[in-house]
Amino acid sequence: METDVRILYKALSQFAAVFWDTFQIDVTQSVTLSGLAMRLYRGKYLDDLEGGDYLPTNLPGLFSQIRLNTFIGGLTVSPGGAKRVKKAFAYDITSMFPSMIAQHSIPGGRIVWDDGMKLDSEAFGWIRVLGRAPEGKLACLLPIKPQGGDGGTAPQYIGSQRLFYGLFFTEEVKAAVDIGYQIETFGGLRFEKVEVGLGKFVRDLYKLRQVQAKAGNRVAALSLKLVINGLYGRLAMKRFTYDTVVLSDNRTGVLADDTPLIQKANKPKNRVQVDVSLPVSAAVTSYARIAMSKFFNRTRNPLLYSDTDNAVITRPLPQALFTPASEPELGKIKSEGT
Amino acid sequence: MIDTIFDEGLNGSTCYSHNFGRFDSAFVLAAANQLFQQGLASQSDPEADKCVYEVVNPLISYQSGRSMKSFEIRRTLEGKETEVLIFRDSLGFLPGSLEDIAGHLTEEAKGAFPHRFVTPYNLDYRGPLPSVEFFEGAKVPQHTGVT
Repeated sequence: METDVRILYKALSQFAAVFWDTFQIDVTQSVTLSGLAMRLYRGKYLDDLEGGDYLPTNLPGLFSQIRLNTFIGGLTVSPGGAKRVKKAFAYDITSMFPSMIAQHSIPGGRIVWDDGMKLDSEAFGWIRVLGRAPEGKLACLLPIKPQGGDGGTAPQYIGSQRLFYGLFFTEEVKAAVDIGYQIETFGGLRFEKVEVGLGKFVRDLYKLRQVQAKAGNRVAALSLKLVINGLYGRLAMKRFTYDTVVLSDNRTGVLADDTPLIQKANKPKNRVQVDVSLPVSAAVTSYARIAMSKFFNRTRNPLLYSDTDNAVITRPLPQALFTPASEPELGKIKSEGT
Repeated sequence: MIDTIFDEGLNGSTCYSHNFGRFDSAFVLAAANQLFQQGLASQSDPEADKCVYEVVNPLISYQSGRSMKSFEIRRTLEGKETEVLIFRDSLGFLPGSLEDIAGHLTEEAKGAFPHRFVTPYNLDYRGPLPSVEFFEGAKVPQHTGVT
């Protein structure tokens, strides 16, 4: 028992020291890693002074369409026609979701519905599309959720030559068109590309994580990794919280009688949660799919398997395209072995 | 235990326990409830110190089953001075088992406990170390020296 207490104390102290020494943040004010990530981001990176860029938070009608249509994480791809091979090459993208935040434009600012929105270079946001997936290719962009599938039914890729219709992130639609999807547009939501400190948050914490790892502080390094990942998830939280009520009046033996001491009243609070911005998370998952699509449809190098951030292919990539597993770099392809 | 922590002058402290939400919180709440009852009794005793304990600001996670992430125990003395102790689940910051965390700390190894040996009838057991089969199965290989 004493050892366990000492281990926990050491680990928590190491973790707390990193955040205090670097950011002057007292971790005991947060309960979870994602909460800590948001507090750090809002306190040190987000300049939400009037006039600055901002993240959209409160457009429930439009956002529910985005959630329904395009907020889908990575999907597994395992081509049915793949041949048996003696040797295969595995790669992954280092810190996939955070690196997408660090490398790409973030949707935010003023949002406008544009009936005439076309998929040109100015288009940035979510666009309503009627389309058809290309024939004879792995059509692994623009996945859809089946009817009523907000979490209930597994999302799926569209499949060769299938028609689809929905509201999709413009950058993913552009990548889809590049590989042969045919589309027709029906207006969309224009967003602005905003500088809201998310990229700097990721880069700073990633650098700090590397420093901690090199110093042998493995607990701190692991926790930093989870904090970096936590912010993305936190931004996608649903817009309600639970109310919890403690029954603190004179009810003797409430525990002994097996009567709940604590009850929940899970009614949504009707208020703006300024720490939620679904478009950011939806865009990040889109960017991740685009990144993974580079492994698909490679000439004479068939894909054997792929998921959120991993791909197994038949032949090795050129050396210049990836880093060794021992020297990972944020957002770079990393060799995972053969 | 809780009143002792208060009496040690640790007002405002945060107490962490690993897997607090699914294990230790039940014991702490039971102790808090006991103090709450004592506090109620003291209200009608003119000789007693008026000391009221309450559980406030609970936070329950409903992901993967119900789990108590955090709550505070507040002590009010003589209806005036208020002190607070915060209880949190360290799993919120350090996911994974304590054994894994120990592995990351490198210089520490988590101790082993014969969970399968414990029954309601031997909580005061004093005697030879229980044999290896009473320790968690998965951890047996690293405790083969235990007999």
